[in-house]
Amino acid sequence: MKKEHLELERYKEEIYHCFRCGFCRELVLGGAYRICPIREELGFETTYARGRIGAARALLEGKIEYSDPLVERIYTCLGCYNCKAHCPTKVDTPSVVRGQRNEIYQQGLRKFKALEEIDSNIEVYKNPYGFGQKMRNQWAEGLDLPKKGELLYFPGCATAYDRPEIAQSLVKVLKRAGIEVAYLGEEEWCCGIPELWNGNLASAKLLMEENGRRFEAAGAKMILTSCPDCYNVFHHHLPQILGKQPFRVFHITEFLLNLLKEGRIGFQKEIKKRVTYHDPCRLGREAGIFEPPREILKRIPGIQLVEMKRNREHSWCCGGGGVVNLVYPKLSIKIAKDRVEEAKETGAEILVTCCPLCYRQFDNRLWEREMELQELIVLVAAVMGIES
Amino acid sequence: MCGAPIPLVDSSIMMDLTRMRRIVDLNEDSMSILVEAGITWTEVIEYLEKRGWELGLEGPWSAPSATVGGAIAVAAISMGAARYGGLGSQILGLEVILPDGEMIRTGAGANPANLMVARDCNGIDMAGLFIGSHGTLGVITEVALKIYPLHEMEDYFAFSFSDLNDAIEALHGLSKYRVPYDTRMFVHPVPEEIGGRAGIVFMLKGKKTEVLELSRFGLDLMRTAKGKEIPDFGKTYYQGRFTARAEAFGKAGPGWLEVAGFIPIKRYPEVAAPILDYFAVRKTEIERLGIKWSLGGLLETNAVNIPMALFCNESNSESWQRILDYLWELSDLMFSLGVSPYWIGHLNPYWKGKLGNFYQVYERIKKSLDPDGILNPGLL
Repeated sequence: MKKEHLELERYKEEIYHCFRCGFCRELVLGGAYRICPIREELGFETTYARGRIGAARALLEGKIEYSDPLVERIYTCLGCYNCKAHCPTKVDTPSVVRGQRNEIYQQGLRKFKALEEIDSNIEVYKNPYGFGQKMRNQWAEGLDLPKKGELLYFPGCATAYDRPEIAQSLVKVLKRAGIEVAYLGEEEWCCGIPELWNGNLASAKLLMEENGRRFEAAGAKMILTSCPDCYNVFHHHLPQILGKQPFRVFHITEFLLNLLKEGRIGFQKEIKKRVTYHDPCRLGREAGIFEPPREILKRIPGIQLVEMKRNREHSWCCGGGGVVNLVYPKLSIKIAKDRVEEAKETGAEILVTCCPLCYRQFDNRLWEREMELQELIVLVAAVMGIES
Repeated sequence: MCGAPIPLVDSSIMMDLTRMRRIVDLNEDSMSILVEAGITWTEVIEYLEKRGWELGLEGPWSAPSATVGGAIAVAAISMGAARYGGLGSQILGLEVILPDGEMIRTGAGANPANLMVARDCNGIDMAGLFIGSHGTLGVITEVALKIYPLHEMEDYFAFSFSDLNDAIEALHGLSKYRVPYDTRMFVHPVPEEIGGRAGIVFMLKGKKTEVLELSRFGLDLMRTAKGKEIPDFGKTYYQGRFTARAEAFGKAGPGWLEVAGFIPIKRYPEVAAPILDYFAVRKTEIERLGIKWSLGGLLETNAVNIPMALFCNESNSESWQRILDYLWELSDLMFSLGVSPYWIGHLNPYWKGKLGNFYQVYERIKKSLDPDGILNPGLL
């Protein structure tokens, strides 16, 4: 008997909008662009958008059912949005994949231990790492941040636990401009993005709604994020859940660029180096923020910004998205290494990004990178003469 | 843009050759290039362009993602067909893996010391057996193509006609005097920017002096045929040629079915008229079901391909079923009017019974090369 696919039914229009042109496999136009990092590594039809959509359609039409190999394939999607960016009909394959993952989770077919740990950690500790909430607050010690205010900074788990220097730099830069941000501290929960991608949609919604309530309770009108994932959650996903957008949401790169333009912050030092910028998929293709980070870099005295061959909407993923870094870590790092090789080809001395997840993918703690790596906000603070 | 990645029968294996994408050899002396079949058309074009060369045909509409081998396997009508004709005209030789694993090289390539010279060697045109065979007889793995010095200039034109017969006169003139590199005709819908009863766009390509002379000649032809020039449209149309059609098809459907085939240019109106009537009497149903359709013409040297495309949102099963019905009825209509199909695929069961012993001979060849029917099962 044909099984119901209630979640996939929501994406039926998307699924039937694919007419199999193959532009999501490659598009050679003014340069050779491969589109899907996973397809380039694994090579199968069902490891890139056209085949993923084909499988989703076959599920809807009752021609196949979820099997272990299919579940494994579905969890290889990075959600990098490169397929959608190059699709003539803009089929939203990442959303379809999230729908499939939600069905897989609901049917108890997900068999990845790493994802079960994420679920468990989030349920108990409200972050994917399983650290205590007190530790989330450590980066802000001594910064005297209020818990309430109209402009609220949401660093998110990856920044708070793994890259606290991003949050510290950001707050200090803003203080230099005379701007005070509020911070929820231990009241902040995970934004929900790991749950959204691992298939536990109910948990993701709970986290988003709860954070939304806490923002309101804090009197927040504007939410400032430094993590592209958190940005998209509050800018895009939360309004879908709430049916309204109660907050103005900014990514720090937009915010800082405005401060620079208004002359409220400026650079005291110079960096005489060639720099290349890696577009985080969530910030670039998903949120459409390509230029502000570049504009900031161009304003830093001495910096020569050089582009990688694949940049902006063509940018290659760091390999860390869509929980692929947790389920297939070797595959994930292989893609990160390819991206860094591309960065090296530019002759740049510094690779800059502004996403804690991308940073981690390129981090020396995981593999020997042989290239200087910088987080944009940390770099900005340094050239402003702010000590970390 | 046919994109047929789904096998026709269960328990099939699909072969993806896109990792076989090397440029094997560029031979400027013999004016030829040898490529692996999985490379895309535009990758070859961009490779050649940097070296001062170009292909004759630019590949199908989906050239940025379409492979050279795939397009040859379906004999895709390509950009540049008005000047060069079918894909076969540009092929010097093929390397093919037969169903039993044996490899052959066709034409001059049968002599390993003479790979990329000519197709018509050693008697039979073996390459022709595989061009348009839809992978039923062998797997194309390498292709030798003709190359030409890179053009100096392109120019583009668009014309509106208030009478289809005038447009056909214009099309015939363009063909007769070998004016354009590529030519398309719109009958339904005619783009808003062009308007009128029919529209023609064409592209010139070549040495600067040649393009300038042909543009003067082409303009005279169009004016004599009462064509009204539409500025800028031709340029916009052809400069976006590798992505615009995919976007248009996506918007129109994206569910898409097509029946198409060749007829002599002058017979176009007598084929078009009953097709237009066919849709006129179904206007209410078409509007109710959100079905769209298009009728046009693609010039291929001395003939015109008449593509009759049907579109609907495939998730609407009633609409989809109805355009399938239309497809069969239109196939019947077009065949009775003398149209010769250029593809096989899903219309094959229909055409097979109508084409005398053509398919019987084809099946005998298939049986001989592929006795177990392992290649593209279900197609023939």
